[in-house]
Amino acid sequence: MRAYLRVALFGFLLIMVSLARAELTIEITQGNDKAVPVAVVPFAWSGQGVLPEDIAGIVGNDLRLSGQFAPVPTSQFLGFPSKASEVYFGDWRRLGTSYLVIGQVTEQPGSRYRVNYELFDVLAQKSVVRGEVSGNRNQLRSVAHSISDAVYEKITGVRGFFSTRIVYVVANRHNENSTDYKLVYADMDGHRAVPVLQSKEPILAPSWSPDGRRLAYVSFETGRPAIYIQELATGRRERISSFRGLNSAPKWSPDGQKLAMVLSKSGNPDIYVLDLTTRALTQVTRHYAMDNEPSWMPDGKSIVFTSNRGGSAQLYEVTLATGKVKRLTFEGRFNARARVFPDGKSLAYIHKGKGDQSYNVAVQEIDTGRMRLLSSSPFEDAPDVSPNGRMLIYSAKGEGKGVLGIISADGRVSFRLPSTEGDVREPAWSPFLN
Amino acid sequence: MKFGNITKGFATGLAVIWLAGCASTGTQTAGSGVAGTEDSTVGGAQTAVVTTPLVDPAVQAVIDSGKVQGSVEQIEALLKQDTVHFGFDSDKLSSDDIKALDVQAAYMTSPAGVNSKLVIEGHTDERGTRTYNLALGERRAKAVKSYLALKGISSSRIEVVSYGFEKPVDPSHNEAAWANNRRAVIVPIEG
Amino acid sequence: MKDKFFWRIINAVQGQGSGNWRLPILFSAVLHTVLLIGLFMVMPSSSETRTINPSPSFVSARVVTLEQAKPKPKPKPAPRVAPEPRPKPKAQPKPAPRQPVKKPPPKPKVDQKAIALKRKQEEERKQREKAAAERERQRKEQERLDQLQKQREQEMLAAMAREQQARQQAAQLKADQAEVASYTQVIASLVSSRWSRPASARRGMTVVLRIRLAPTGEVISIAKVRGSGDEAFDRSAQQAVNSAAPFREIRNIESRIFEKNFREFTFLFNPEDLLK
Repeated sequence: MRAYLRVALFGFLLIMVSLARAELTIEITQGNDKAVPVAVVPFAWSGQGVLPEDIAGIVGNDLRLSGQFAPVPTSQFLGFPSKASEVYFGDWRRLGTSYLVIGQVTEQPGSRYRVNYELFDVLAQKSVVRGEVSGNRNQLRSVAHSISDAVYEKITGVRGFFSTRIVYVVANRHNENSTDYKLVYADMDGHRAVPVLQSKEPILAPSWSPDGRRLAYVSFETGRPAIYIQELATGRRERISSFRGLNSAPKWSPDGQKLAMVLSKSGNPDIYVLDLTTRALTQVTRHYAMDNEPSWMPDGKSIVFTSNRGGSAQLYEVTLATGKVKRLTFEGRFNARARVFPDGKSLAYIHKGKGDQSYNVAVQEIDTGRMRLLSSSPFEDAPDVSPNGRMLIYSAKGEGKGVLGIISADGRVSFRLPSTEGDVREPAWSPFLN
Repeated sequence: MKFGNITKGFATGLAVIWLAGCASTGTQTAGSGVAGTEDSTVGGAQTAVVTTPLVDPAVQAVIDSGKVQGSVEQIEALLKQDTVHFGFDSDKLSSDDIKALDVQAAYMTSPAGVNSKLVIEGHTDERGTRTYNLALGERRAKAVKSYLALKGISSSRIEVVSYGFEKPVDPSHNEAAWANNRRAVIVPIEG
Repeated sequence: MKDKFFWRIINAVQGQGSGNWRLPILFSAVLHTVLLIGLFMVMPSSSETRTINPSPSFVSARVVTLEQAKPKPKPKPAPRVAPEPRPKPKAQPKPAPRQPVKKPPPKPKVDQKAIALKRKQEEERKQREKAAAERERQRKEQERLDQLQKQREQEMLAAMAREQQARQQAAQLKADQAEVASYTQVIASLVSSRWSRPASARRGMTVVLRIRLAPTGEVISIAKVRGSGDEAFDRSAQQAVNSAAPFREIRNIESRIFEKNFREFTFLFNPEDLLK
C-alpha cells in the first residue's frame, strides 16, 4: 500500500512538473486573406524578331484575375533573371514578393516555340516547380495559360482554370425588328473570341457537355424556341427538342448522358430529363407553377430548379429517384437560375431581396442556408461557376449594355471581361478541358 | 408591324367590297379610315349621290354578334388593339384589356372571323433572369389564350410563343420602358 | 478517477502515516495543490480562446500546451484538496499532574517516639525519594514536551518559509506567464497577418511547425513536425512564419524567459474561419 502511495504521489508530482514546464505552442487560427505577392519576370527570348506573345504578361494577368495573387509591377524589379543561377532571393524578398516566376522562350525549327519556366519560393529560398511547354505561334496564349495553371496549382493547391473556355451570347440590335445574335466561344480571359453560331433570332441558355466538346442551347431560328446540340469542333448540330411551347434551359447531366430541360408541352413549364442515348423523356416535376432553370447536383441524383410554387421565385431541389421536392431558399423575393458548385456544397444564383430593386449574384452554402451577395450592379444574370469552384462568371449591365463580369467565389476580386461590340449575356464556363 | 398585317387584311377585303359596290349601286369610296364623297355621272344624267362611310366588316361582325356594347368607333379601336399589358411579374389581365379581348372573341366567333387564327406573343421586361422571363412571357400569352378560350375560341386556333425579354419594344432601363415591354401581342395568322 | 487518486493520497497521509513523514507530505501536497491551482489560474486552458485585437482585428491567438491537450485536470474546490492538518490530541502536551508537594512532617519524639520517628523517617525518606523520582519524571516529561513544541514551531516556521517562497514563485510564474502570453500574442498576430491561406485550405487542416529562434528574433530553423497532407497549405504556413520573421520584439524579452519559452517553440496552424 505504501509503495503504491509513493508511486501515485510521484506521478502526481510529475504531472505538475510537466505542466509547469510545458512547451509553448502558438496557435494561428486566422489568416490575412490577402492576395499573395508574386513577381513574374519577363521571359528571356532567344529567336528572331519580336516574341509574338508576352508570355510573362499573360501569366501575370491570369494570376491577378484569379484574385489570389498580386503581381509585383515590373518597374520595381531589381533584376531580370531568366535562369535559377541568376536569382538573388534577398532582392526579391526586399521587394516583398513571396514567389518568383522566371522563364525563357526559345524559337525552334518549324516556327515552334519552347518555353521553360521555374517557380521559386522566395521566403524559403528554393525552387518549387519547373517545366517546359511548347507550341506554335497560335498556341502561345495556351502555352502561357498552362504555365499559369501550373503556378496556380502549386501555390493554391487547387487546379488552375486559366486554360478553360467560356461561351456567351452577343446581341447587336439594329432596330425593334432587327437584331443579330451570335454565340461566341473564347478563352476564359475573353481573348481569342470566335462566333460558333449566328442568327437573326434569339439564342440563349448555352450549356457545356461535361467533356467540353458540345454545347446545348436554345435557338429561336424557326420562330419558336427549340433546343439544339452543337459539336464545337465540326459545327454539326442537331435539334433535339422542339415541343409545342417552351423548350428552354437545357443543362447537361454530370455524366454527359442526359439533358435536363424545361418544357411546357403539357400546359405549363415543368422540368424534364431527356436521355441522350435512348431519347427517352422523363417528366421530373409536375406542378401548376412555373418550374424552370434546372441544374444538376454533382452526383447526378438530384436537380436544383427555380419554381414560383410558393408565390415567389425560389429554389428547390428534386430527388430524381423519389420525386421528393425540398425548398432551398427562403430569403428575399426572387431566387432563381441556380448553378451548383463542383463540390456540391454551394449554389450560385440570382437574388433579389425584399424591397430591393436589383438582381444580384448570390452564393449560398446548401447545408447551412447561409447566403452571401457577391456583387451589386442592378441587373445581374446567369452566374456560372468555374470548374475549380473558385470563380464565377455572370452578366451585368454596364453603361446600358450587357457585359460579362468575373468574380472570385469569396467575392474578393471582380473584373469585367474586355467589352466587345453589342449586348453580351448568357455566359457559360467550360469544364476542365483535355 | 403586327398591326400592319391586320390592316392589310382589312384593306384587301374592303377593296373587294368596294368593287362589288361599284358594280351594283354606283360609286362609293371606302377604305380603312378613309371615306369621302365623289361626284360621278352615269349615263349622262347627273344625279345627286349620297355616300355613307362603310363600316369595317370585322367591326360590323362584332356589332352584329351582339356580344359587346359600344359605339362603332369604340369597337373599332378595341378590335385594332393588338397589345395587352401586365403588371410586374404578373400574368393578370386588366379590365381594359379584357374589353379588347371580348371584342376579339366576338369577331373570332362571328361568321366573318370564324376561320381566323392567332399567334399570341408573350413578352416581359428585363428584370429577373432570361430563362425565368421566357417562362413568364409564356404565362402571359397563355393568360390571353385562356381568356379567349373561355369566350369560345378553340385553342387550336391560338398558338402562343414567348420571347421573354429578347424583343423589347423599348430597350431602355426605366419604369416606362418596362411597363411597355410587359405585354402580350396578338398577331393574326394569314391564310 | 483523478479524484479517487487524490483522496487516496490524503486518506493515506491522514490515516496510516507513521507520523515522521506524514506532516511534510501533507504540507507538500497542500503547497503543490496551491501551486497547481495557481498555475491553472495563470495559464489559460486549451478550451479558452483569447481574442486579441491588435492592429489587424481578425487576429486571435491562444496558448496551449501539448500535455494539456490530453489530461484536462480541473482546479479542484479548495476544501477538498486541503484539509487542515488537525493537531492530534496525542501530540498535545498534557497538563502535568500537579501533585501538591507535601511538607516534611514534624520531628518525632524519643524512644517509642524514636522508633516511630525512625519508621516515620524511613517512611518519609521513601516518600521523599518517590516524590523526587516523580519530580524527575515530570521534569523529563516537560522537557520532552518542550522539545516537541520547539520542533513543531520550527517545522511550522520552515513550512511558512516554504509557503512564502512558493507564493513568491507563484507570483513570479504568474508574471512570467503574463509576459509569455503577451509575446505570444505579438508573434501570433504577426504570423496571422502574414498568412495567406491557399484556395485548398479548409477548416480542419492543421500543420505543426517547430521553430528555433535567435535572441534577436531571427528564425534559425523551421521544421515541419506534422503536415496537413496538403502541400500548398503547409507551404503557406511556412511562408507566413518566414514572412513575419524576424520577430524583433523578442529582443526585449528577459533572457531567462526567452530561453525557457521562445528559444524553441511550436506553431499550430489551425484555420477556424474557413469552410469545411
